[in-house]
Amino acid sequence: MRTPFRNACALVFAILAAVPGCAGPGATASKAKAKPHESLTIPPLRSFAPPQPQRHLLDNGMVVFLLEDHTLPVIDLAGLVRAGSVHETADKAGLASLCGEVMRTGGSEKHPGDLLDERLASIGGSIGVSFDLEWGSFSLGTLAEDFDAHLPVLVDVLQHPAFPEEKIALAKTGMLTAIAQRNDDPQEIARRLFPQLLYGPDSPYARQEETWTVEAITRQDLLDFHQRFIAPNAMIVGVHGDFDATHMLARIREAFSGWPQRSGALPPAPQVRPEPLRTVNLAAKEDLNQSTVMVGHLGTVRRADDPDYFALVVANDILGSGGFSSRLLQQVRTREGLAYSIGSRFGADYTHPGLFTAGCQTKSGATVQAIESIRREIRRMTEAPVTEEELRIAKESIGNSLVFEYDTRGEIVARAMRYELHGFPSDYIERFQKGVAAVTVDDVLAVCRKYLRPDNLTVLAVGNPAQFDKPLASLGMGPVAQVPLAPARPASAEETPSPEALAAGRKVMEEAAAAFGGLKRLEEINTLTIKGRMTVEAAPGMTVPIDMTIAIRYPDRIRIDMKTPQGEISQGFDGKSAWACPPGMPPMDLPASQAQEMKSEIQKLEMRLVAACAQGALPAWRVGEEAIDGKIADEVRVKTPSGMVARLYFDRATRRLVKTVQSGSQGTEETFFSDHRSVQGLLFPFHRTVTGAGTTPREMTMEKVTVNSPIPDGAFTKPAAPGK
Amino acid sequence: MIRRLVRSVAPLFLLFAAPLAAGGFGETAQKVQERVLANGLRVIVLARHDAPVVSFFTLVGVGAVNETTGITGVAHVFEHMAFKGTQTVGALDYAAEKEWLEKTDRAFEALRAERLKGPRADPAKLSAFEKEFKSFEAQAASFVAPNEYSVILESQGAADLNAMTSADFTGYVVSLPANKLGLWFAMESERFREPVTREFYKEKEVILEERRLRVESAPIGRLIEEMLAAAFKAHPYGQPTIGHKSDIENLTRTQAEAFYREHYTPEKITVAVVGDVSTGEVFDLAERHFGPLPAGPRNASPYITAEPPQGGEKRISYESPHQPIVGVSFHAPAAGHPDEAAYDALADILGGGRTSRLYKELVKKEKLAVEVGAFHGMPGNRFPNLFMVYGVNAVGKENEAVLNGILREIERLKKDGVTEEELAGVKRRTRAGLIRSMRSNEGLAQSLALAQLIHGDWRELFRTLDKIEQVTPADIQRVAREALVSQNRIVATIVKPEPQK
Repeated sequence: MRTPFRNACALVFAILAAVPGCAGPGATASKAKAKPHESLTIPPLRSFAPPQPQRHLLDNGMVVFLLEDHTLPVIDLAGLVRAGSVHETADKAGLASLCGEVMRTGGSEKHPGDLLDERLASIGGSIGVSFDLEWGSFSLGTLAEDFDAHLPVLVDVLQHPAFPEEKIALAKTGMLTAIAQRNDDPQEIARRLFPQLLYGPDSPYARQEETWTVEAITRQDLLDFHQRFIAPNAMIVGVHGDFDATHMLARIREAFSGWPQRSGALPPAPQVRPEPLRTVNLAAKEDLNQSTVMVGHLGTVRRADDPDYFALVVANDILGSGGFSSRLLQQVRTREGLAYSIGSRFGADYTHPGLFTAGCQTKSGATVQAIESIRREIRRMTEAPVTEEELRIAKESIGNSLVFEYDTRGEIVARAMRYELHGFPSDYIERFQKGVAAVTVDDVLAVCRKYLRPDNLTVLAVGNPAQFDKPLASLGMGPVAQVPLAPARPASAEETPSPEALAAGRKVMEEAAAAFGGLKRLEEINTLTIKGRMTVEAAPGMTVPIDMTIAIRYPDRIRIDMKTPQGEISQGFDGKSAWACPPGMPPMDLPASQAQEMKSEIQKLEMRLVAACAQGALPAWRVGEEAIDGKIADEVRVKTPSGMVARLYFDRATRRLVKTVQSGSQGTEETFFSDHRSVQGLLFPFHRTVTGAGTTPREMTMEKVTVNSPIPDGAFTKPAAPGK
Repeated sequence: MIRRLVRSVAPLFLLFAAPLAAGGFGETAQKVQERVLANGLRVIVLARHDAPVVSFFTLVGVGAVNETTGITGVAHVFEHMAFKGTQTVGALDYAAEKEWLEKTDRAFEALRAERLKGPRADPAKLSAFEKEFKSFEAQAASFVAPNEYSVILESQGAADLNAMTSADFTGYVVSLPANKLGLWFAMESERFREPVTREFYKEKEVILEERRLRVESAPIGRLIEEMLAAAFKAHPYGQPTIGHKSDIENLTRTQAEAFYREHYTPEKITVAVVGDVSTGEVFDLAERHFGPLPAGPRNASPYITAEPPQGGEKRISYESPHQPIVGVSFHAPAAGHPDEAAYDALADILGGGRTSRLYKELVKKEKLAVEVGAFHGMPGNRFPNLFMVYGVNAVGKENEAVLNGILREIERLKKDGVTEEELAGVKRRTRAGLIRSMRSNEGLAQSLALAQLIHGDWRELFRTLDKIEQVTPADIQRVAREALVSQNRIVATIVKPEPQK
């Protein structure tokens, strides 16, 4: 039960060597005879200068780390490349994985995969290529005598992958089998579903490949992904083993020399939705006698860029990642005997907020008891300071085990590469060491209060609810949503819903129309004028306010006026053509595609869709339920006049609209609605939050909504003069 | 990534498999030093000073194979108890605690006796006994500093503090900064000199969770349990290492301690130390700390029932919504048999990596499976065991097709033998693998101690390569023809549950 944090940190050996050598706490009062370690004097650790890898920046932009190690006749090369599954589109999820697999199994024209297999097997060597979430990895490992002959082979495979159709098909079979297998292991189910609950199912940080996304991937997609992302200037290479560094550098230079750099910036890391949603969720699996439970919420700290991070490392060590001394293990495993494996993780990722999670596996009949115990321990961290003894143990175990970050050449090189990849400060080692050493009990309490949200936990239980000690609803954290083990295929124009789903969808829409104020009032809407303020998160932590007015006249007129820090912007659609007035520029016509988009926006307005569905003019079908902010909502899908499928979520009790999801080529956008207020007998959500992959997070607060006040035709036509 | 997604079956099997042995590496072998204490405890040391860290492996030659009916799982239970401390570590007031521990035992035994009456049990008594048991247990717990043993080591910088139990052995693992050598000896020797099996009943609950996790909620775990039970009707390799549920539930502290006293004798203990240490200092410390352990009976090899010849194929299946998998096992000789290297080469040629016969035929060519494997040494190595081949069906492929594919490749190998080229690859891979296995202190400590246990001499680790070099294609064909036959075969599959009528 190693903490992931310890692996990320490092130390200065001068400091470590000076760690005082008293083993025993000696603090626990004991009536018994002396403990075996208490009379010992532990010598200081001998001073040790861990070997430093050489760093070279090649002309092609590639960074290379080299570290000689002549103890055994082997050489290992590892590479990182800045590309991963966050760079694939949702409709082709699995592309990056498939790319890595087929690069290896397909090989290149010169070194076809099957021959590569034979060649490597005959020398006991290996080549690997794979892609993770945000970066890819490649490797070459051989006996020292075989390395020079195989380095050009690796580079040829990386640079000129053949992507043979036969190997693509084989890799797809592997992925489809993996999809079929993924409900076999309850822990894997929890690991897959829990991030989806917190990041949103469509977030690049949580989404999964599905049979239809894998089937949609073509050879051209693989070529494009490779072409776009794989290039020497996106790579960091590290080699350690039995070689001469000068010779090795020359070999690497030569092997990568013919490969041009890639131009074009990498897309920025996808954003995560700002407000985590508290929900209770059940993934029912009747063949289990043990539940896998997870609780947690979105984290808000990124690694290294926040001084609070060090205190959180210590806090999490005390709560649940610090082995046998951690509170969760002491309480839930040792005292209550409820779990074999239990722990917590405060995932501060390098590029985006990670997840705070705690969880365990426990017999079905203790499911709710275990969740309550875990919640209690999380809450306790925020209520009272940890003891000095707990702090001492956590800090000592982190500090004393840091030497294991340096005990192999492979780890030393891998760490240098990771720091390079994330642009970590060169003094991060010292910072971490000093940061952890300086943490006080007050710091721990302060960060726990700041970052742990015991009242805002999302819960997931994977198990057999018939055997639970109590229903999950008894947690008192809100109603329980059923999470399907296999997700519904996303809405598409080809989808043909069942008659039952259509009937249920129509019923929800009828109730939603009534909740909005009644079908009659909805139909009578002619114009809408909305004044409000939009807050756009232009960059993480940086928001820009925009005051806006939207005027709509059905069926096909719209005008939007915005006051931004850069100036005033207007745009509109007059039924035929669309126009815009950017700040300080004369009015301009927008292309037909954008005109069409604005027109369809009007058609897609939620109230219109609801009214049309309630009357049966548009098909609507219910596909499932989801917990949103502690309440259950029904998901209904609607085929819009333009042929798109919209997903709308209605609160089960009030039938208010609480969420919509729109998928397009840019990604998926989720909109959450709240603060419903009555305006002239119609219920409007006065607040909406928009998030999603490929979307700039934004919030909109309405100040005033007016219904059916006349708007002259002229308001929608292109202004004659610059500005207004 | 795909390899990560397709759940790998191999580690589950390898959990029970032999350690990767090494061979022919004079330089490393020369540096290994050994001392056997007067009480029979063996210490193996390899000093190497690359980084100031050291790995320890304490191997006790007792595993599930030493268990008898009714107390299955006791070796594993004791492995957990070894972390509960001693009369000093983990104790707040041992004298007081001891009294309550004994009262708790008596209360549990009364409760157990009443429970075992089954339908004739008196509900009033059950509830009274249960209440008394819980109250005594809580009293005893009030004198405990929970997990103090582990906490001391962890706060001193322990990495990978862990333990394992297999059919053959129990092993205790930890790595520490090199200046903690003396601390380790003090702590390790005391827990095997005077262990206190405190929190025994709570820990059994934890172990039952471990059983649910690894076996009951894991259909492959269940399938292996069923397959071993089918393969070994007499030899204890047929018993689950983690134990039967009811045995764990009914195990008493008295039984666990008796098992400990019988088997945790110095003669069965091998301590391997690899890392930044002085060999002389290690021997001195070993003498001082482990020397006082009282010697047990010498050369005590308990009688263990031999498995009679099987005589015909056995087929078992486990019904589960889990995706299907096919395992084909054959009875094979124990490690140390002259043909051991031939079996290892056979496993590699059949199921090792992307160029193995099963991978090329079943995965690449016929697309029947997404993963295949073969290995020798299930569930252990000390006694005649199983040579196992398996395939994980590709989505939509029937068990019968995968099974036929496996059997066809086995028959082809028996008929035509293997090529010199295939065998040369095995030898080359073995060499590369052995060299790599020398790199990790932790791995090398385990390999040395296990070679000592399985072969009776840690030097065998360094002879592995010589042995594989001597294997000929004819040897491989011969052992395949001898062992991979229907009378010797157990077929195990996961099948879809029959629909409930």
